[in-house]
Amino acid sequence: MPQKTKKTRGLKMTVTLYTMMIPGLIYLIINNYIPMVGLQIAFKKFNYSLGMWKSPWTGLSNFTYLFKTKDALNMTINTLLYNIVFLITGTVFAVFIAILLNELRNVRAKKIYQVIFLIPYLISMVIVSYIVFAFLSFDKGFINNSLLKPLGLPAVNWYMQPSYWPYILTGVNLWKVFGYSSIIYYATVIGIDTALYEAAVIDRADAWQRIWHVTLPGLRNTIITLTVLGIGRIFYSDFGLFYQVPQNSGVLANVTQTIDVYVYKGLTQLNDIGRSSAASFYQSVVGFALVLTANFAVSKLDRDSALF
Amino acid sequence: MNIFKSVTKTLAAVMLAAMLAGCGGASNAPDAAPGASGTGASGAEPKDAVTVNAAFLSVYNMADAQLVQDAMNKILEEKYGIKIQLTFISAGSWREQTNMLLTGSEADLMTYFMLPLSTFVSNGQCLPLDKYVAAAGDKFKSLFSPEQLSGCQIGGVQYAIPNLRNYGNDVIVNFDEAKLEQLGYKPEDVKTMEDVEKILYEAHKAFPDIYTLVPQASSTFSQAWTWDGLGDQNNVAVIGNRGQDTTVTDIFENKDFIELCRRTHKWYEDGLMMGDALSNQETGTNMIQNGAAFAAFANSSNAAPPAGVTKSVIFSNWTDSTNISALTFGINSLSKHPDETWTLLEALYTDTELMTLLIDGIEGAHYVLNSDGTASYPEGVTASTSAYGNATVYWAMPYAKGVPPIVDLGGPAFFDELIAFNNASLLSKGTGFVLDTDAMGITDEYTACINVKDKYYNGLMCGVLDPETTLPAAHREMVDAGIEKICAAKQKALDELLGRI
Repeated sequence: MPQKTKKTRGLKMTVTLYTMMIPGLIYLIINNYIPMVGLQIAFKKFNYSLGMWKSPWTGLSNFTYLFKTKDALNMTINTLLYNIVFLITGTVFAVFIAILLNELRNVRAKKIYQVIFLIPYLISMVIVSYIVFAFLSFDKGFINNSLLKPLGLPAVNWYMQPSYWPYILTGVNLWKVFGYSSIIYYATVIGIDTALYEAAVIDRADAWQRIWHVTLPGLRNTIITLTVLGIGRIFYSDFGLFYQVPQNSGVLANVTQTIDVYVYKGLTQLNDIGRSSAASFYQSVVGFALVLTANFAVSKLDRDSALF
Repeated sequence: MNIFKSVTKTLAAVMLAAMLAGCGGASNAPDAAPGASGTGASGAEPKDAVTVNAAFLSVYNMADAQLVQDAMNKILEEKYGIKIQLTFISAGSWREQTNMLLTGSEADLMTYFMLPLSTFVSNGQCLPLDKYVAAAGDKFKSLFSPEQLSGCQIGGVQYAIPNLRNYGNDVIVNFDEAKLEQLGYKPEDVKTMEDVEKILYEAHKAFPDIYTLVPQASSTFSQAWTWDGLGDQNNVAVIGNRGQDTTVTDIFENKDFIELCRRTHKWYEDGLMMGDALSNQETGTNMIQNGAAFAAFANSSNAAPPAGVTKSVIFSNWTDSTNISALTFGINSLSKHPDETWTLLEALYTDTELMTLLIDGIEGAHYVLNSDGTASYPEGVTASTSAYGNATVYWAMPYAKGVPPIVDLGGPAFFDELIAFNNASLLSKGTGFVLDTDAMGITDEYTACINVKDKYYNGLMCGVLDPETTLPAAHREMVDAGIEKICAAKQKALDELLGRI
């Protein structure tokens, strides 16, 4: 008898919980699953008057422009390399900042730093592009006028020198995103059991050893999760960063052209919905495959660290 | 514990109920509307006037659009038995919002702008208008010449109606009026590029502290020159000589383009050109007015240059293949009331009372009439501070002749002069050219070539890049991207077009 009541009670509790899950599920279905029906547009010649279902199929012809030319190869390589560099620099720097924040004892200062670090993340890329312009403008920029001139060095026409831009873009990206991820890492760091630190102190570990043997292992899972998710977006690029920040300067195209920029420039006049969909279809399918591969690799090395 | 449980249960129940209600409501709504009208409109009961939703471009704040709409509806209901709903969409979000608007039947009368008309047509967004144009009144038929109307035809089908703005452009140089006079020149003395060059060098010596020459806007040296991109403004594969040549070439092999780049590069090397040209943010006229620059090339209609600026025409008035159809009006192919929409469209081209309301707004509130027949914004008000600053934006409205022109445009006869300017304009041989990249089988090549062109076009025109080394490299990249296939396809289409005329 008591067994049964317990069971029904358990069932009742589960029903309640599942009921509460429904809004979230519906949100997911409407927002993330129903739009997937639109993936078919990537394989169609979209016509507004016929609508999505009646537009004629065109096979894979919407995809060819992404692979046909030398520029297409260039943009794929750019997208990949930039994202790899962004992932590595972003993670290393954010973890570094998170650890520094943790070592800081002054609570007030800690909060002020967090806010300051987060501000760039909240600024729109268009504004960032003007901030960068204020630094790099040839005639009026800060670097040419206030740094190079007093040092007696010749002014540099930044928007015409492709060789500087991989560094500039990496720097801008790092400045913009590190605050956000460092706060995620910091949240993990303060969640690490303080008993571990106490034990380390008793074992006479110095600060460096505490970081190396306690903090970093504690961060491992978060780093792996964020990195695997980052790999999933490795074929996407921040359009604002690569289009607005270089002021769409054509001379820089070889180092600033990513998949998104190429698609934008190539299709704004043609307004070809099929081809634009094909580009994001390609980006997400490759990203999905990479996430699976990365997760598989992680789970081979260490079952517990894998995402799923 | 018990309380917590009952609270969660109640909450869950409420949420579920709310959701079911929500779903039910959503699925019922579409059924309800046609049902109601189906039962209501039977018999001899007078039908409500159909409301036509008209989408227009707005540049300024349109806070009083509702007042204007009410005033227009009074006339429309009485004379035409329809109503208008004014939908103003700002230029900044035009592309996104009209794209959304055209996926449904919400908009009836559409402004086709910012994309080539052929793109709208190939996406199935325009209703053919031939039967309406054929049945239109004489006043409407007299507004445009057959050539002008054919600028909005694709495959012989009339998909849109042009509006009244300058189709053609003079290629001009804007000078700082006072400084040009100081150098001892009159604007009408400057006629050729050689004249311009001479003056620029003198100005560079006389005014060493300012930019001698700046781009027209941002990093665009001049929006129009003498080549015609045949159906697109990217200028991939062009004909030169104000559209009078008939051989299609890569822009980087075009004679006019090469000549200009050689000249501007010399200017750039000699310090005449703004050093920051490729990352410039301002417009040339602004910089001239602020005293930061001496001159800038531009394209212009017969409108007077802004205060403190004077202009000289270098290449006179010509109309490229896309200009006439660059901003047009038509009917959304998904519209539920195409007939009523045409009635409205025709009225907006022919009924002066309606046109004045739409363009100038309400007299007394939005404009005052001057004794010479021009209009002015009320004392202390400008286009940007007015609650209906549409008079300055006549060029984005259907038709303005007969409407009092705003006074700074140049006088009471401004719109007649504009029509004369259009009629005198040299039409490109590519007029009527349709660029349907899908049908031509060149879309992949086109996207690639646009990206190559973007790398070099502005840099070369501003003189920043050395044409001797850059042009051959740029052409090679274009060839790799498939420019030869595009040229061949465009040449074939052009030959057919010329053969037909």
